[in-house]
Amino acid sequence: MIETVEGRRTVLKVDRVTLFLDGEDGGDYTTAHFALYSGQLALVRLENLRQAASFADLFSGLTPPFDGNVFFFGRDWQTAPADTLNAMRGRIGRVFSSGSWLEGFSLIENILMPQLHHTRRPIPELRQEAAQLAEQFSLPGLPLGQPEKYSRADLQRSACVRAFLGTPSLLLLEDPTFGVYPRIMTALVTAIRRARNKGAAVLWMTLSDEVWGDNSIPADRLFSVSGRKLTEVKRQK
Amino acid sequence: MTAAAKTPVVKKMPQARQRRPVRGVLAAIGEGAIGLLRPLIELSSLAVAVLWQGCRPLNWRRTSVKEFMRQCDLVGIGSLSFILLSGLLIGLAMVFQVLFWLKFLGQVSLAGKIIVLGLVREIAPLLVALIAIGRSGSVNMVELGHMRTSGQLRMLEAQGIDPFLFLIVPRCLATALSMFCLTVVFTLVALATGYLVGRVVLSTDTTVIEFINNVLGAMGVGEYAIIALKPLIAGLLITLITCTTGLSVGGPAGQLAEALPRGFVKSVLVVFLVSGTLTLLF
Repeated sequence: MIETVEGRRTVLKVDRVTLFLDGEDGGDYTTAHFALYSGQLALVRLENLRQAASFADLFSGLTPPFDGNVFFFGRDWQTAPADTLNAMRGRIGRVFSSGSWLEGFSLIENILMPQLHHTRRPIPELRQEAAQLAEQFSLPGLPLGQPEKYSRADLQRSACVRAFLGTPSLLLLEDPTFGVYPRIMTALVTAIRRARNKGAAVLWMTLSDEVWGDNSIPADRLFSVSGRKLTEVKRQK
Repeated sequence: MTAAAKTPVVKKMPQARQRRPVRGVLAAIGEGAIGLLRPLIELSSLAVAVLWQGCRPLNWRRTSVKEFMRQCDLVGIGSLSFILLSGLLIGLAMVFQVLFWLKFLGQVSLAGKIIVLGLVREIAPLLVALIAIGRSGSVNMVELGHMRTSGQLRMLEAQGIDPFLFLIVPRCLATALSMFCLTVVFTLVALATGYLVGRVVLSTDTTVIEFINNVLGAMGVGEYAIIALKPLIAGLLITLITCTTGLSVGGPAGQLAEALPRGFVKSVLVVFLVSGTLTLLF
């Protein structure tokens, strides 16, 4: 059953979770306990991209926690059947920190793939929405070529287009401004605002001091890893 | 606590246990048999899973259909020119030889039976399977191995796209279907070439109708079954072996280079096994 708090649905509930985080020195255990509600934006400060990928994998049920449970719309990732798991993941928009693109497929095919798989929306409609998002993220039209032909900045912008395409219920953004800060900020904040208005919860993970200290980001909540614990912190004014 | 007290007590194995060579031999035989059968059982289970999942309409999302078409294009259309050329050469060599020697012996009426036995039942499915291993099998191993090591499979899973349903099922079924079509094309080209060469070079007086009747008359239910079953089963198993070989690569590119010949040899062995078994059955 989906919990609601002040009329907002609980999108993601991380219940007393212990997670093994990969690190350059071999990794370490980290605990987390929080809930994220529809329309909320949480900014999470992490130390490296591996941590971001580990947290994103945990929140999307790809990595089981060492201890505790992670719920997505009230369903435990660990106990949901395989078909349901895939359908649940189809409601998550994600910007990946690595291994983002399928080689052998064009960038536009990569962008449309989750929507083609999980929805029955007509292809022209999807392409039109993708074109609008591409324009918003300052891409010179729809990226029709193979991923290896594009610059890192364009790939990062395309990753945002894919994540925001459709109506995701949860957005897991693994350092979306990597290499494109601050040029992408306006488009990103606008896209996040639209998604939140449609009820999406957003987890924006960042490694950057600039992003962490950027007061233009309308984050409801701030988290950072300290002392082997993902804790909620208050914004310093 | 003293050092002696800390030392764990090691129980000596009873003498009776050590002196049971029969049990050891049986265990070795059992282990060998399990080791031999395990890959076959795993392969059969996967094949059943592919067929089962392939029969579920819900699994045929737009992404899977597209992958199916892509694979048909790669294996079917992509191999067509090579198959036509091979059919032409085999037709020149085999059918021509058969007609030459049968004419020499005055037994041209046996041509149909010999061609059907050799070309249709054995050579066509086998050659098409070997071409498919080279053409799509190696692509499967490299592509899936790279996808695994570069995190692309994980990305698919994170997007709720099951790699088995998106990559394995469409590839297996598309390869099986393409191989069946290619076998038919190969057989027709080889027969047509053989007949034309025999007619022009050897001046055989067999008409086209007689030749077709000769070949069709020599074909029974078993031959039709073999033409369909050999490429379909071989295509399914070749793709499964090459895909699982690619997916089993977990490390650097060196591991992929080691896995490639292993997957190739396994595929060739399975093709011979399928061919031999079906020949015996039909």
